[in-house]
Amino acid sequence: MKNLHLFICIKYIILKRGVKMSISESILVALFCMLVVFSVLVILWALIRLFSSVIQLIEKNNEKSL
Amino acid sequence: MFIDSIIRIWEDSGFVAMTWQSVVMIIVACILVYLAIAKKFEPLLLLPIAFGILLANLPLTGMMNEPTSTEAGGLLYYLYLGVKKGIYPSLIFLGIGAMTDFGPLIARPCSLLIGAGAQFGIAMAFIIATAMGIFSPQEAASIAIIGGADGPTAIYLTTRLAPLLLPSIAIAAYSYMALIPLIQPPLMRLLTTDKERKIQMEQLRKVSKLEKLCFPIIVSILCILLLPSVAPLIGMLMLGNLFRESGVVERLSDTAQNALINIVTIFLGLTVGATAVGTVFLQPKTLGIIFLGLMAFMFSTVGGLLIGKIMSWITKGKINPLIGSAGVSAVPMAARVSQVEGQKASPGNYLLMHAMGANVAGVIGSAVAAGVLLSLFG
Repeated sequence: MKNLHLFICIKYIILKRGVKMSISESILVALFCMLVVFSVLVILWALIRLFSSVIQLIEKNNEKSL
Repeated sequence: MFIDSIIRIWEDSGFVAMTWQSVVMIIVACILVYLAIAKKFEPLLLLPIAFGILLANLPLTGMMNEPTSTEAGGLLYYLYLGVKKGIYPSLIFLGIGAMTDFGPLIARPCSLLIGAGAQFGIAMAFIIATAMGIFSPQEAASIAIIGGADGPTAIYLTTRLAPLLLPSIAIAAYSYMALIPLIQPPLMRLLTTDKERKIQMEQLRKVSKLEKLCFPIIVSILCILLLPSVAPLIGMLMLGNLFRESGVVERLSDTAQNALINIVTIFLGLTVGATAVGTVFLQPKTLGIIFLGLMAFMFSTVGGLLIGKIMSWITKGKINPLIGSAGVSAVPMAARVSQVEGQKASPGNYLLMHAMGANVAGVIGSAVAAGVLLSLFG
């Protein structure tokens, strides 16, 4: 939700300012970009850990039953 | 009459229509051909790019002419549509996905953080480009993506945000990728201690086939739901990987990583080069792009190394920070550089597979960064 709010603010700045952007606005955009990249990859990390654990558990159970 | 014919042939020839910009660009094309063949600077792309530049700057060929009501368009105009519509970069990602083993990344998913950190160069290049005052935000974003060290992603974003800068950005991106063995090692030695460089990492666990099958599906669903603009790149990358890992579509996998990617590489390189017309390329902005491209690469390396150091500290020395520099998505060159530097510090140190995890994480990271910039400025 916070990311969405920030995204809307940045999009508004870009549309309002058009061609020019100040350094502080560019820093804000850069920080937002890094924030989204890190967020997506952290979520991906968590998902990979989760599905790897589940699959390893399933395979271990299959081996035991065999 | 004979002399009149000769005069007419001369007046209709390209010699009369040559400008100084054409001459300079033909020289640039020849230099790039030399770099591609003799120095082996990313020859797969630089050679067709160089020849495209040559063809585009020989006057009166009409190869890039748009169709009119009376005449068909030029050959390269039609081939260029694949670049303009974002088709070629996506198809190249299909081939890359089919060639890539994500096993090292799945075995150590924290490498994704290195891939994220290595996009720091995109952020810094964007700020510096904006501060220079000569680039619009869209142009700054297109230049910044050079820091992702991913050619297809850079081309994909630039065609949407700043198509006039495409030739400069493509040439800068591929040239700097070829220079990674020169750019990265000094930064790696500067930011790591001798003790850190000697860290030997534990062998990666074995990744099961089921994990490798689930990976592309999960990544596609997550990334595309979060950032729909990244769908063409991530979607094709993961489709190619699914072809590889499924084991039931060997022909498709083989086509994607061989014939398809080779054909698309030819068309992409040739048509990107053909956009480098003298009047467009020979601008002060091109020098700015060359400078910013180098900054982007350096900061990306620094970002990856710093994350590598943090991870080494958190894990109490289990991770060698040298793999941080492999977070730039120049696969597999950046991983090889980590391997070489690791072996210089300690001859028995084998970092390649660990660095490959970070390397392929960088491919995902740069595609996500491109998606963010496209959402903001597209």
